[in-house]
Amino acid sequence: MSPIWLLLLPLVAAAGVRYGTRPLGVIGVFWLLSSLIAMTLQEALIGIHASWLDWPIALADVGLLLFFAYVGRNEGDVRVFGLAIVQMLLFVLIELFGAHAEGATFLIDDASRMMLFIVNVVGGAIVYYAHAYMRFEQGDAKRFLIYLLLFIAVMNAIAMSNHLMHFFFFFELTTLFSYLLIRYRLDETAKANALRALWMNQIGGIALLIAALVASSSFDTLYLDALTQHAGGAAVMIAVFVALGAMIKGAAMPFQSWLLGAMVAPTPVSAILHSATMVKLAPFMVLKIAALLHVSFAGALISLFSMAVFVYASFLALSKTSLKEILGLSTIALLALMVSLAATGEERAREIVLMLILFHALSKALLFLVAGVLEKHFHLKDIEDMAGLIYQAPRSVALLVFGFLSLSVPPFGLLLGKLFALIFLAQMMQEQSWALALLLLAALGSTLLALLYFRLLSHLLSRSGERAAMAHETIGWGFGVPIAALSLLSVVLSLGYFYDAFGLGALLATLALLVVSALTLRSFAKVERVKEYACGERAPFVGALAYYTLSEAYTAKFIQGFGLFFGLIALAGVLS
Amino acid sequence: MSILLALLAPVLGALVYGFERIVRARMQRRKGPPLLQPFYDMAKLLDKRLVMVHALHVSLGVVHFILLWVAVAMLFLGGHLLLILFVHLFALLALVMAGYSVRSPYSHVGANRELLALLAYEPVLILVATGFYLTTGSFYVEEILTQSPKLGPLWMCFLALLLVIPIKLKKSPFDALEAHQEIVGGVEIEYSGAFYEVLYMAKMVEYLFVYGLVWLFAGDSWLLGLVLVSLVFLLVNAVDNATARVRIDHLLRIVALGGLGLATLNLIGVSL
Repeated sequence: MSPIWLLLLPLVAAAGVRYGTRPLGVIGVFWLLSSLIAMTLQEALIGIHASWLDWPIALADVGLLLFFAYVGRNEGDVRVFGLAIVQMLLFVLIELFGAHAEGATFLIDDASRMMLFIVNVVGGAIVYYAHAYMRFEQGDAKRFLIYLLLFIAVMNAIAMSNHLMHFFFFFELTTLFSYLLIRYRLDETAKANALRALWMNQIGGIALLIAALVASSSFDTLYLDALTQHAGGAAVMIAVFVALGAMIKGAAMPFQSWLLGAMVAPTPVSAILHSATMVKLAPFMVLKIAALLHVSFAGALISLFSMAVFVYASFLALSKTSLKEILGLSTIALLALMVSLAATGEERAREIVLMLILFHALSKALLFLVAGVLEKHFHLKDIEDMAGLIYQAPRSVALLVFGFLSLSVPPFGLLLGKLFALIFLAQMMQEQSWALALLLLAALGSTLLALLYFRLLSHLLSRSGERAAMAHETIGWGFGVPIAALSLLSVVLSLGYFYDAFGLGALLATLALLVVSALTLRSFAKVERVKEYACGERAPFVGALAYYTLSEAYTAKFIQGFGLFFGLIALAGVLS
Repeated sequence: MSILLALLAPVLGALVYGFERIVRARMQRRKGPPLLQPFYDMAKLLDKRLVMVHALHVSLGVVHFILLWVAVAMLFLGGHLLLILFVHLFALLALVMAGYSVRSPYSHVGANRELLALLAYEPVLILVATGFYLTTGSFYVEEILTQSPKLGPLWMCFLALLLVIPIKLKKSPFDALEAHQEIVGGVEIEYSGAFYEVLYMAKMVEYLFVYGLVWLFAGDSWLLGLVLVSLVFLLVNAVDNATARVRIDHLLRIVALGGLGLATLNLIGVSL
């Protein structure tokens, strides 16, 4: 099947949802079809020439930038307005310079295939889930679903784009969808957070435009595959600015607030935009231009910066109580890890990053979907309230536990990815000794994340409050189908990855270990039970989570430090 | 041979533990218990009435023991050092979850301290493993043991490991994790009878894990391995007898800064 179908199918599905009578059926068929196409994209490198698209896209771009300016004026936000004007100026400059080289409009390499896989398979699951979710929400559910489907079309387009200006256009479209979906609930915080997401991501757009300007003026081409063939200062500068745009999309540290603010949106939005698909643009974009960053000073700075973000975001998550916020910060952390590895420009890192993208998308989407169920069925958002929830809602909590385990234990793919990342960094150290800093930070960050996940898990299992079991705990097909699909995929793909890495013996041994662990639980069911020993004290026990945090002054200083570092990377890019 | 060692790990660990109790007692001019005391303890513990707080709690304890055993077995069979460290990490995390799953303040405090200590020493262990990789070109224990001793180039990593050992073996000055007089054994408090025996065995297996790591520094030299392990064994027990417990936040600072600093300096030296 031609990958172009991936652009058309979501549009058809959106029309079906708008005018049809059975939206769930339409979404289901769309999910199945597009997943099949995405999974069967065989050829490693497909190029499609469609240069007639250049003009319509440029026109649409102008429209989009005008819309941003309008939003800025209408909402009274100077930043949005000003940035839109700057973008327009840069845009005009690029069009004036013009790039004359010809190339493939759409190009599908290994990174694109991975993106298409997660956008369609994981994204489709989330849209399916959103249908059930929206029955709990006020407002126009159909419009919401149509936004999500259009968003999938845009993501498919950006995953295939090979032209820097098309890339910019679709990048800005994802920003637009972010804006529209975050402000969906239309209350004060939603509007304010949507505007913040808008202006921060506009800065990312400007970084992309600067890259395009340099590309068209120095190399007379805007095609990414042609650009990565070049070398030298200008090429590195292009790569650095694309990476800067990527890091803002990935909410790296001075820009973390837009992603955390996005958590006010309905849960499917958090799942599809802010964990599973859109933010994956960060490692994806860096992978696209990684060859240019190989063994360069600027590339090293990007790697170091991102690894520092990995550690700091993991640490910051230890002080939060809202489940979505914790998931958001751990997303920022893992994205930064991926960006850091990708920016080394090494071929081995590329495979690891692709696997991290895949398994992170599966696990995080799953976790957000379960978080949505908890929110809708039990009105729980805060982890403090979830203590011992397992005795009340065993199924939902089991899913949540599964989600966290899939992020952190063997044989799941994400942990293997982290393990291979450590091994890769140790190998890299043999040639480039500065990689020691990366390794040190990676080890620290991984430990912090393990601490975070297991602290949460422990809390879910802890019996610190009395709870009666619920009479009926039903999850329902609308929620159940996508959650089951994602869990199954996560298990099957992880086992495949594990088998690939360590062979059948290790796989069987691990599985046997899991089965034995599960069996021990059963075998103890009949043992006599006693109350805990309190050393003769009679004070009631109130369980509490421990939080780890820096004082506010330090937090602000750290964020400023990251801001400075970010500026330094831009400077290094300009000077290279 | 190594398969036998791996299978008998708990028994071996018990012997090491029994021997250690004698050595520690002699340092205090006591006679100490017989060598087989851990086995007598086992007989006594197995004889007790079987009670538990809840099934998940004891299962996690069992998982803790099995995973530790697996980690030690992988170490003896020449496995991948980083993988071994990861399995070991999960063993500890299972214990932490167990600690949090009961309604006991001692257990919670203990679990929390386990986590903090983990944060301090896990990066150190990863760096030590990397040190072996940089000097021998392999993460595989099998390969490391066929090469010349790496104590020379990795002496600072060795010192970093020395900082970690008292935590792993719950020895002063870094025994705030179980701190008997203060938090009544921490995570162990709610285990009794046969279930406590499982945890007890896990502790002994941990001895083999720790001294196995020490052995790695000797490479292919059996003699140096024996000398190193004996010296560390004596040193750890002497320090245990001679020092007072430090607070958990101090432990975190000393081990994280000291251990990481030493290991980092060493790796910089090796990779230059």
